[in-house]
Amino acid sequence: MLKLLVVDDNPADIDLLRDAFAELNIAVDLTTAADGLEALGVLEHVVNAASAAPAGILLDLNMPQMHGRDVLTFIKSTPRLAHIPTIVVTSSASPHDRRDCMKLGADAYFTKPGTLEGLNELIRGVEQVIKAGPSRSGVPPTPPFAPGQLMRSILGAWRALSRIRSGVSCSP
Amino acid sequence: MTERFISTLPVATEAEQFRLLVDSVREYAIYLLDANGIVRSWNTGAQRIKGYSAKEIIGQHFSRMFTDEDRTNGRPARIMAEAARNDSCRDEGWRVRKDGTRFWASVVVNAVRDELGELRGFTKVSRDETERHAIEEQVRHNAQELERLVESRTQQLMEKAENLRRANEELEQFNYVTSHDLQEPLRMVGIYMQKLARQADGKLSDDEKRYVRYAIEGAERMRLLIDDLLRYNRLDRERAEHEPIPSGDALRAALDNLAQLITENAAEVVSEPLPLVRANLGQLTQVFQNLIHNAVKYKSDQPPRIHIDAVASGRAWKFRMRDNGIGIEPQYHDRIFEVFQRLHSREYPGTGMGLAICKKIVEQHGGRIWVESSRGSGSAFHFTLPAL
Repeated sequence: MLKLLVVDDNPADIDLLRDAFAELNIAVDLTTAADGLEALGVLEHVVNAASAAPAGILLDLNMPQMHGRDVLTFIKSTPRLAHIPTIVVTSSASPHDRRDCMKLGADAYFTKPGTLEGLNELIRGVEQVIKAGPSRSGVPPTPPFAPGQLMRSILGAWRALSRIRSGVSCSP
Repeated sequence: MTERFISTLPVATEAEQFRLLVDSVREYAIYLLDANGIVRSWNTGAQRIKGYSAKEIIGQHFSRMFTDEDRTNGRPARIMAEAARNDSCRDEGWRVRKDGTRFWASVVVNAVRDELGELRGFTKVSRDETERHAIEEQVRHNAQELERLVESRTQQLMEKAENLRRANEELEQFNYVTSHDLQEPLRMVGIYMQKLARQADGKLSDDEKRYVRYAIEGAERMRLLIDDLLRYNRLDRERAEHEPIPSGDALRAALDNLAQLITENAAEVVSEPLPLVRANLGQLTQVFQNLIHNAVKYKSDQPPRIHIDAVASGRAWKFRMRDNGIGIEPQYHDRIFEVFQRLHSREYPGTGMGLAICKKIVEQHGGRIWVESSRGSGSAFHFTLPAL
């Protein structure tokens, strides 16, 4: 069973992924997060060893609340998360976005496909990246924040924010 | 010469002759001052230029001929002091005629000493340079005016350029965001339509299947259009590095990308050796790729034969790509390079962006692209790129 975290604000895209894994007979256990902040909530449990680390993270870029790029920065600068293969899956085909993400330590960058065949190719690509083993993008030699500090600061902001917003569920 | 000339004159003394000579000079004011600055002699030129007769001015202090301002700031005394110290003093400036009008004087004051070296007075030679001065002033003024004008025009142009740059940036950003955001819902329509068709396949009538196929094809076509539009816009947004590259590398990369199309159509691409050019490898590859793709797509009933060569033309290389395809009628030779221009209907699928992209790339490299062709006789696409 492949344990994956899928971060995407479009439920239709998450459905597509789920169906595609099933069609290709790949057993997956999907945890989903609808935006960057929600993803951080999930990842906090991983850092605290309250839940097992996913085998891979599929990360959209353009999302409300927190951009995927910031989530990626967080993952790759947190020692207990940096090894998790993180695959950007976005509708942006911009070489600029691709360069940015690879620089931040993304393990792969895929553009969301417009056809079912393209979707199957994407799934096979994701499988390949995860099979290649732990990410070597690693923690940058001098992280800009002490481990945990960035997380505490972001989560603090998030909690303050969710107190303002009503009816927001943030459990993983 | 002077001596002989003077000696022939029927006048008594040398001093008298000299006085007459000085007296008769009209272009220069020549006069003597004593050591205190009092005018002691006056010639015709002085009278003509300054307006005073000898009788009126002799015995007066020479500062009378200066402006009030110069008198106040002590200019006459300074001129005398400098002439006394250095034996000579040059000066230029406004002086005042008897009638109160001003003229621009160019002046030399020399000290006159006796045998013992004692200062006895000064000779003063001056000339009315008002006209020259006016011209010089005008020239200086014009130069300044010109400079000011150039500066203000430059400023205006820079402001315009800045406004244009900002407008362009906003437009590009707008294009980018809209095409990007359009892509999202379109992807949903296309891919879920495909899913629907697959799941309901057995239950759909032939008509219904056709409708679904049209919808999927429509979405796919629009996706390609937006993709190409994005690619076209990116050419503006992201200026590529131009460096010396073997253009043959770009052709090889293009042929690799088109390998399947070339095989399927039994196309033959022959190239002469290609030169080093200053270009962006990825973009030049795109140019070759689009042109070869077109040559194969618009083939005649013969298998496509494509021949590529390049000749030096001044400081540029002129590339030529000839094919044996269906050709293009002359009235369309310009139109084919415009955005979304297509000459054919569905029989030749495509977005009509390929040649527009080629044109933009070539022009961003400082080159030009054009076609020579007629219906039924193949096409020759030409483009130029700067040599190293």
